[in-house]
Order: sequence, then structure tokens, then C-alpha cells
Amino acid sequence: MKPLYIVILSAAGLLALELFGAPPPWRWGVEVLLLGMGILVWRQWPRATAEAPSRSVPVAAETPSPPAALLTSVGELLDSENASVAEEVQRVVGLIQESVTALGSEFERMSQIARRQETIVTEILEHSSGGTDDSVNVRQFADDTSRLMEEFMNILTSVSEQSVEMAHHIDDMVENLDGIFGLLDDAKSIADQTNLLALNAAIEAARAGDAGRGFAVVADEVRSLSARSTAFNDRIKAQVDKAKEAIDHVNATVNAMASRDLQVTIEARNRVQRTLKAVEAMNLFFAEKIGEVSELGDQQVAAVATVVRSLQFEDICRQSLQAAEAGLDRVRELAGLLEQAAGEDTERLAQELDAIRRRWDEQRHKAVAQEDMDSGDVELF
Amino acid sequence: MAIEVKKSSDGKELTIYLDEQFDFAHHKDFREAYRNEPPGIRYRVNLARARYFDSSALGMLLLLKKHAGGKAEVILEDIPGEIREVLEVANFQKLFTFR
Repeated sequence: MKPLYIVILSAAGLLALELFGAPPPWRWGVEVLLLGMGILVWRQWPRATAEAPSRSVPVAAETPSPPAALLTSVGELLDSENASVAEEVQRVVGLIQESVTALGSEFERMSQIARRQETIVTEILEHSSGGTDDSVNVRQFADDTSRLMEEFMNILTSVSEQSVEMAHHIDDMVENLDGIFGLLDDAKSIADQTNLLALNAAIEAARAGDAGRGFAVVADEVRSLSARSTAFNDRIKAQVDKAKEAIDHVNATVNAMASRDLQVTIEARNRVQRTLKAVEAMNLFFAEKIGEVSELGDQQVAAVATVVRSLQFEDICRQSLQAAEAGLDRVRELAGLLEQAAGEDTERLAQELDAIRRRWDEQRHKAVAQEDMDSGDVELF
Repeated sequence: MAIEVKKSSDGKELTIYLDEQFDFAHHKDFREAYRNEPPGIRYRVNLARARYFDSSALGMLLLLKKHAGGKAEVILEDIPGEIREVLEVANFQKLFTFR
């Protein structure tokens, strides 16, 4: 009875390997080994039990039949297991197909989003680098501002220069006016002397009596002329004083024009320069970061492309599962054989098993053409 | 303290020493310092004591430059930091020799 169990165990082992198989080279090796072992035991069994006298005697003649009922039930069991496993395989095929379709469309969407992002980033880059006329060019703005500041400073200094020059002219004018004062003083002393002279003449005319009466009138006229001259002198002086007063006002105005506190200007200039520097630094920072984002976008697009390419694993899985289904067919065949064996002689059974083994080997050799995904040679069907 | 003037023995160089405050009130004194000197001699303005410059100070220096003539060198020496900033903002380094 023992060898029969070994055959059944071998068949079960084969089934297990087909279904939950290790990688092909291993699996096939062990399968062939188990199959070989099964066949060998099956063939040797009758010889061993019959206590054969010589080796040359054909084995088939006195082979007893294995218990028919047992073989039939094993065959049935195999059939039923086979059917449920086939069902699972079909389910997995469906699941993979469904998931891959969903993944594929989602990754395609991701790829589109990544490309859109890329476009936006490119637009931002073009805009900020001054590609368009109406964009804010920070460098240009900085240049314009500093030129404006310089111009303002030039105006300020030239106004100051002209104001101080005007002040110098005013000084010269005041000097001239002071000269007029000197002349007026001279004129006044002449008037005073004339007055004194007229007084003397009047005294002399009085001493001359009647003869000097006419001369006294002349002397009186001269005195009144001197008085008028003095009054005239005073009026001129008053006018010149007014002029000097006006000049003082002009001087104050010129002073205000010439004297601008430069500290405020310098502070404003420094503030503008600081701001411009900060803006430029910010601009640079943005450009750099946007560049990085653009690079990341490239990587993202590449990664999504790789993922989409990797989704071809579905084909390979399907091929593997088809190979598994083929394996199940083979097991079904084996089960049929077992059921059939219930009434057969073992010699024929062994021959059939041998034929089956050779056919299976052939089928597997064909399947070997299909390798892993990395090799890239995906056989699409 | 007011503006001081020193003339070299050969009469070819005139140095004007500025006061702490150099503003519009000094325009008369400053002009007097060089007014009667001929153009073409070398002018130096010493700013060691100067602490405050307003725009009229710049105007006065420009008038000295004008008086000295286009080709004459006008030297500004011993310039304190805060005054130097003012002079540089006004681009005076292009018109005067800083020393």
C-alpha cells in the first residue's frame, strides 16, 4: 500500500507546486523530480510486491490494480480543487485588469497636471525675467531711481551754487549802497558848511546896514537852499535804508534757498537703496525657487512616465496567470488519469504518465520565453 | 572760531581751514578767503574741523572751484566720514580731489 501513497503524494506535490509555485526553474525541477519519483515507484511497486525472481521478466503481467475507489475519489478531489483554483485565478485576472485601468487613468491625469504646472512655472519665469515689455524690471527700476536721485542732487547743488552766487552779488550791492551812504554823508557836510556860510553872510550883511540889505536876502536864500539840501539828503538816506531792508529780506530768502539739510536727502537715498537691494534679493530668491519648482516638475513628469510604463506588469501577470491556468489544465488531465486508472492496468498507466510528462515538459519550454518585466520584452497579446 | 586761511610762502597754494559749522552764514568769509587770489593757483580746503554740511556748503565749494578755473586742482582734505558721505552723494569726487 505504501507506494500508492507516494504516487498520490507526488501528484499532490505537483499540484501544490503548480498552484503556489516557487520561481519556475525551481518549481520545474522539483516537479520533474516528484513526477519521476511517482513514475518510478508506480513501476517498481508490482515488481517489489510480487517478489520477482528475475529482472528480465516484464513487470506488467502480474500487476495488481490499485484500489479503484480511492483513485476515483482522489481524482474527483483534484477536479474540484482545480475548479476553485481556476476561479481564483480568473478573479485575480479581473482584479489586476480593473486596478491597472484605474491606475493608468489616474496617472495619466497626474501627468497632465504636472505638465500644466510646468507650463505655469515657465510662464512665471518668462514674466519675471523681463521677457515682456510691460513686466516690472527691478534692475531697470533701480537704475532709473538712482539716476533720478543723482539728478535731484545735481539740481540741489546747482541751486545752492547759484543762490550763494546771488548772495555774493547782494553783498556787492550792499557795499555799493554803503558807498552811497558815504556820499550822502559828504553831501550833508557840504550842506552844513553852506548853512554856516550863509549864516556868516547874513551877519556880514547886517553889519553893512542898508547897503547890505540885498545881500541879506541872498544869504537867506542860500540858507534855505542848504536846509532843503539837508532834507533831500535825509530822504535819500531813508530810501536807501528801505532798499537795504529789502535786501536783507532777499538775503534771507536766498539763504533759505541755498541751505537745504542734506541729511534728510541722504537718508532718503539710503532708504531707497536698501529697498532696491531687498527687492532685488527677493527677485533673485523667487527666480531661484521657481527654477527649483520647474526642475521638480520635470522629475515629476518623468516619475509619472515611469509609473505608467511600469503598469505593463499587467500583461506579464496575465501571461503568468495563463501559464498557471495551463498548469491547472495539466492537473485536470492528471486527475482524469487517476480516475481512469481505477480500472486499468498499471503498465499502460505508467506509459501514459510518461507521455504526459514529456508533453508537459514541452509546454513548459514554450512558456519559458516569457521572462520578468525588467527585460522589457513584453509579449503583448 | 571762523574760517582761517594760510598761504604758502611761494604764493602758489592757498589753504582754507573750515570751521565746525560751514553753512550759508559763512558765505561772505569763505569768499573773502579766496576772492583776491588769482585763479590758477592751487586751492586746498581743510575739513578736519567740519561737522555739518548743508547744501549751501556744496554751493560755496562749487564757487571756489569756479573761481579756481576749470583746470585748477581743488583739494578737499581731512574729510570726516559723515561729510564724505554728503560729498559723495553730490558726486564731488568727480570735481574735487579727495585727500
